[in-house]
Amino acid sequence: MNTLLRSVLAAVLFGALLVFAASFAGCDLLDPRSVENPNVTEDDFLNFPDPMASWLRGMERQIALALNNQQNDLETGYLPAAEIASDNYANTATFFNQFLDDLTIDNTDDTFETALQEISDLRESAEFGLTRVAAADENTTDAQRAELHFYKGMAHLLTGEIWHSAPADSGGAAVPSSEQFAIAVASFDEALALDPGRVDYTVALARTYRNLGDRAAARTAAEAAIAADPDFARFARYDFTNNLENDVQLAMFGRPQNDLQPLPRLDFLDPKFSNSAAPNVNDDQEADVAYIKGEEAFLILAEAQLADGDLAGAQATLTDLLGVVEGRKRATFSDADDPRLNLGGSARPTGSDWLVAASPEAPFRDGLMLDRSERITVPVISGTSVTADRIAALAGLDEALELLYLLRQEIFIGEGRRMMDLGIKWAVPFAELLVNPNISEDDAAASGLVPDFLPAVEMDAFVVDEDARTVTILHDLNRILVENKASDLVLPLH
Amino acid sequence: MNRLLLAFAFVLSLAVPVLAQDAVIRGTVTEAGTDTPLPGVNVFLQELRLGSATNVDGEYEIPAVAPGSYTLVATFVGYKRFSTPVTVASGAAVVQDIALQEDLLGLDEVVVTGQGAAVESRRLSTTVEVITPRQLAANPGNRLDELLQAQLPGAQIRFSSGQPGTASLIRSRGPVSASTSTTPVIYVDGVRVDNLNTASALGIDTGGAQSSAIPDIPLENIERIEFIKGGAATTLYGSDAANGVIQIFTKRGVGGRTALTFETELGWMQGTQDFLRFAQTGDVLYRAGLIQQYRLGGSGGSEALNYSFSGSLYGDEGFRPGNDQQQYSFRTTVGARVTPAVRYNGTFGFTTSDFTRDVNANNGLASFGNLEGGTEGDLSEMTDEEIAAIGDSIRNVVGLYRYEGDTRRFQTSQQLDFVPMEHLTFKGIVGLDYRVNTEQETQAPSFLSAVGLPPTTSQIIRSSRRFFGLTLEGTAQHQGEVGDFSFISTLGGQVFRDDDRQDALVATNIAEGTTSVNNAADQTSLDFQLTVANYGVYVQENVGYKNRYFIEGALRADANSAFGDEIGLVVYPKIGAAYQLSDEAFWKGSPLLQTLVPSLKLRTNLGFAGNFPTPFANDRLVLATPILGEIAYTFDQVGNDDLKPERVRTFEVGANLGLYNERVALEVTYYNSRTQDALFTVPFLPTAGLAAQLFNVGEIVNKGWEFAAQAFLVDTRGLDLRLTASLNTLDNEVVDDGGIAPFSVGGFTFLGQWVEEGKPVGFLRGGKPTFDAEGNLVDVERNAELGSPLPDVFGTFGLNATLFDRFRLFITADYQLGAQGVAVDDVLRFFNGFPDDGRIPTDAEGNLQVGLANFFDIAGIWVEDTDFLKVRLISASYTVPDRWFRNPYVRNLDIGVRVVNPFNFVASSFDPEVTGANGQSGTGGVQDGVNLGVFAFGTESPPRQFLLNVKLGF
Repeated sequence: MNTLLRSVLAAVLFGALLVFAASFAGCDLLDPRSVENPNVTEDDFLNFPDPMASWLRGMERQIALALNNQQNDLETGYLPAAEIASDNYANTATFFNQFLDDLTIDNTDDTFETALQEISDLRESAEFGLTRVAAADENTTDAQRAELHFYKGMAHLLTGEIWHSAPADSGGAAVPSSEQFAIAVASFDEALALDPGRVDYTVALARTYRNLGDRAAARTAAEAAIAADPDFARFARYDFTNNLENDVQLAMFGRPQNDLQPLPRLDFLDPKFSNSAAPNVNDDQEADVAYIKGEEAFLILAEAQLADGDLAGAQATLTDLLGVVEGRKRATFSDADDPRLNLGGSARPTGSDWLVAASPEAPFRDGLMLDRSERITVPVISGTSVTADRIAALAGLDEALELLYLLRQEIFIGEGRRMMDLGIKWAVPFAELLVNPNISEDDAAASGLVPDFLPAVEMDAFVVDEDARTVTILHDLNRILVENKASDLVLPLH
Repeated sequence: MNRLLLAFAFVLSLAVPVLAQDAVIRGTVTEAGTDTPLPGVNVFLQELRLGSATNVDGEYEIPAVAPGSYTLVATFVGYKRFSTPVTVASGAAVVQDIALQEDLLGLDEVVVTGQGAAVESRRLSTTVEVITPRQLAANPGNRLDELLQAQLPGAQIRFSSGQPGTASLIRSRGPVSASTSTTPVIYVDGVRVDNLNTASALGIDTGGAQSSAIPDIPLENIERIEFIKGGAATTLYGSDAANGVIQIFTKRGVGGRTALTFETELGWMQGTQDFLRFAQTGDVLYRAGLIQQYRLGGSGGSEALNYSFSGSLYGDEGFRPGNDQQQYSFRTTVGARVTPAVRYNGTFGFTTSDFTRDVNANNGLASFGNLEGGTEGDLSEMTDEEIAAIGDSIRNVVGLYRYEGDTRRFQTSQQLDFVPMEHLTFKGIVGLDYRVNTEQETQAPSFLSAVGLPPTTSQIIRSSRRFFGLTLEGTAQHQGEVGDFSFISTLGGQVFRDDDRQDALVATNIAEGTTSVNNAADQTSLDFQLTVANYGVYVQENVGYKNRYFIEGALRADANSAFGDEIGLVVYPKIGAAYQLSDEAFWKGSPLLQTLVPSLKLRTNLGFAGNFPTPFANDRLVLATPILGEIAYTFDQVGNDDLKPERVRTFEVGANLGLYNERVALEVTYYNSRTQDALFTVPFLPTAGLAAQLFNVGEIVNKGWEFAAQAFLVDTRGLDLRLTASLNTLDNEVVDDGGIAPFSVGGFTFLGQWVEEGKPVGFLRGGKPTFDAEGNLVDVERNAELGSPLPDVFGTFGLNATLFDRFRLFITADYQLGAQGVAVDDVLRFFNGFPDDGRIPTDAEGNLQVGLANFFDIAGIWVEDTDFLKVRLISASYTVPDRWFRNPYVRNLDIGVRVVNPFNFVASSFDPEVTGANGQSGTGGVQDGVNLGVFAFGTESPPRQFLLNVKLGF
């Protein structure tokens, strides 16, 4: 045997030995630990004792995400963007949606994608709870099932309120809002059947019927809620420590720029969410957001009464409403570092001596703006500038309706509801259009909807008279809404 | 068969009697032309693999040589291989002096990285970039990326911040991935080390500054550094090497007389004012800071047992308050001939590093970012008194804030070489890298009060990261010759395992003066784990014919814990050919060709390399998060059983030319890399309500030309002047998006970095406004392509001069053309009411024309070209003639000066480099996420440094 051959043979034999050692025996001896994921797998979870209770806490977290959260500097919930899209707030700095401020609705806008994803997650999580988790947990109670139906209903309710047309299930065809609302009604009915008398389910049901334009059903549910517990409020709870942030709080208070600046006539309500907004603030100063509250039942009932021509009844309901609002908590704190700047850095009016007119035709009112060099007191659940005298002085249905929409605007500020009252609807996001085979870029759902009677760019514009210390808002949208009450896009009970 | 049996006996027992021999070979190795003694040259008898390295005087001695005829070989980085026959009689002492010729073309260099075992460069179809001892001596930096900056002709190294311990961007052939960073894998003496060069998962976010594992790789006692780019060159590294491999080789022990060197460096650093919008920012924050460094090294021993060590103390005060650092490190190497056939080499390195930092970006706690971003107002319009007041207030705040980090890092490589018979070598390496990094931010109540925040939100955040990396590798290499054919066969196996464990402790509402999380009203904690194990085997054959035709082929197969359950072994092949055309008789016979192109090598190859997916991304999970004191379960990643590595297929063709009597060396390469199965974090359709998941759906192409040249301009006995230059083109495109919607890999909502078919990875997307002649906004293109973070062209320049072999001058520079970045600081100035003049059109009255326009729609006005040329280093040194000091103990004395970052020439209004190490620069990072460097965001540039260096040899 020649040298080369022997060497090659030796190399092959040694190599084989080495490979054998490295890939089998050697690994176990020298690196005996297997690679194990420290996190929880789905199978592990379903085999835990009582997984349903944990899943329901997850649902609570998910609705907080769907409403209002940011992850990796992206807004995931719809709430801050919905406030920007309304006349409640102008976005004067960088990090929140800018397109919506002048009502540019483009389906490539990230906001629509993350919001639809989180709301869909809420729906899918409810379904998973009702099927897989309930099957794995023999101790699941009716009350727990009712909660899951409620969350499912909320997912459809929100989808119907935010999009004029969108899929009702994963990868489905786009359906109009009315179909989303119909599923929501069925879900809330199921929830109430499993856990009768729940005020939160009842208010949600009234809200859904109002959206459907079903005056009688909306009224019945609203009356039931008022009878049960008019002071009720259900909160989405936030937890800064555990990375569940109240994003709209960051926008209106947390960031040094205070990116969201209120319409001057709503100045006295800002910021609803702050790290002093006790008691709806947990230990780490992240304010909770009420998404179902008793006030809404009064507002729905009064709106139905006005639609029925019952001015006196509506006046009585709204006066009762003031009692509920009056009883809500307030927070006192310093907001002196809010720079009150416009986009581009110019100063906005600030101080308690300013008079504000809701439109060039409207009278100047005082008390709507606060002196921010002093500690301020703001409502943290509901507040309003409307007084019992103003309600008592109402002479006509339209005038009353206009005041009712101001009440809705003031009471729901920061909760993402004003955009819906204005009839503004988002587009189904591009990512859905691209991948979902049942929907295409040519569908109506691919575009948003902005009522043509809204003054898009000027929606939160106002004129300042430094000398007279007056602010005149260019358009009173509550008046515009009432003037267009016959439109299918707004005032569903009319 | 007796020798073979004997070989087996070696393997099994390693117990072989050592037979005494008494012949010896000795001599001195010098540089041809200058007669300068060369220390550290490997001199050995090829047949016996017996040898030693030269000592500081260039002397070597090979004792215990059996009588016979041998080939004596001398090799040294940067010099041509020397070989000569020697015959040794029993008991004789043979003297063989050696003069080594400089090797501009590098054909005789022996390359290890990417080859499993040593292979001569001429046999390779791939290229390798080598940092020589000469380059290392000119730039004795104490962090790897600083040391390599502008020294690797085919790679860009950019610093994301001037603060200590922060991340850099290291990139060669463009981003092959849209899911991981471009940082190459780093080995020290065959052992894989922690190379995290982006934010860590639980690291503390201080704006643009993110901690990196690169700055504390123990760097003492380095002999040379090899860099190979991703492609066929890295196929043997398998699923880990698509970004290329950097390997650091430390000095082996040197036999003979004990030698010591002592080096001290003193100087100062100052903040660069080149990129400041307000000169006043520098007045308020910057001040010169002392730099000092002391280093002691030594080596000695015999051929049978030798050692080498080096240790250093480094400290600087930073260029502004709250930015100092101290670093102590040492490395010891011990080499021993265990038996005539077995050689041991063990190296131990340790670094300890302590530093402080400030907060960057537009964080409310930041100082630099808030001054430059205009939070304090338009500084250029202020009086001296106003500036002084702001200065006092800022310095007070800086003094109250604490950000402290420390790193302790131990790294070792243990290697056994076994040569059972001529031409057959076995190598076994075991090594580890253990790095513990702790960083702590203390926002004391007094600090928060000073910045106008409630003291109850005071916090301590402590983030710890422990990395344990283990490498095991075994290689067998056989070299054989049959007639005109030569064969190098390599067979090996490698196991590596990374264990990355992180903790974060957060204490809220803390006691004044405390740095302990115990003294607080509330404490919370988080942890994070990333573990991956990879098992690979490889085989490689390199066949030569007449020492000028070479073909090579290799195969590596990997199993990896991050692969999905359905994925078994992943195989990476390569094939290549090299042809030393100038060795043909007709070429050698042509005087014209011998003068113009004395050396020409052609080469081509096709090879695969991979990037394994993010560990644990393959599992289907439920997210368990605490909410208000209770645990909540929600959907998490859906998992992917088919998750596999990104496979990058690279085709290369090129030539190495020696021109004009080898006065010019030119390397030309065309490459085309296609990342198949590129890992994209794919969003599901939104109505599915699921979190995005990593899938192998994309395809990315990088292609370009690479030119690297080195020229001797003057080469006389008195003056040696040489220039180096490189030029690399880069064309990057996502050629297939797998049918998914474009997705963001970082940036901001108003202007993000995106991945989309037909565009470069991480291109800038946002609103592109058009203004008419009067400056009115007339049109907006939404989601427009606003630029690319990737340069079209980049490269380096260098000048290296030696006068009378005593005075040395060394200059390095690098440049890039064709990339864009975003002036985020000016976005902040816009919000504060004073954007840069001319950026936003104004009307006749000077009012901005975008008052009512959507801010998102004008995003494009903040995108700027980031072309730059930066001179990184000017280093001059002088070897003092010994007649001037006449000291019997001092053997030599060198004095030098060094200026770091002396000149910057840039096209942008900001520092084009200080643009983040993560895609999500300044807005929080993703561990090992896409890093492209785009957003200039409230971060200080690396400082200018002026240093005086004295080096004594004993």
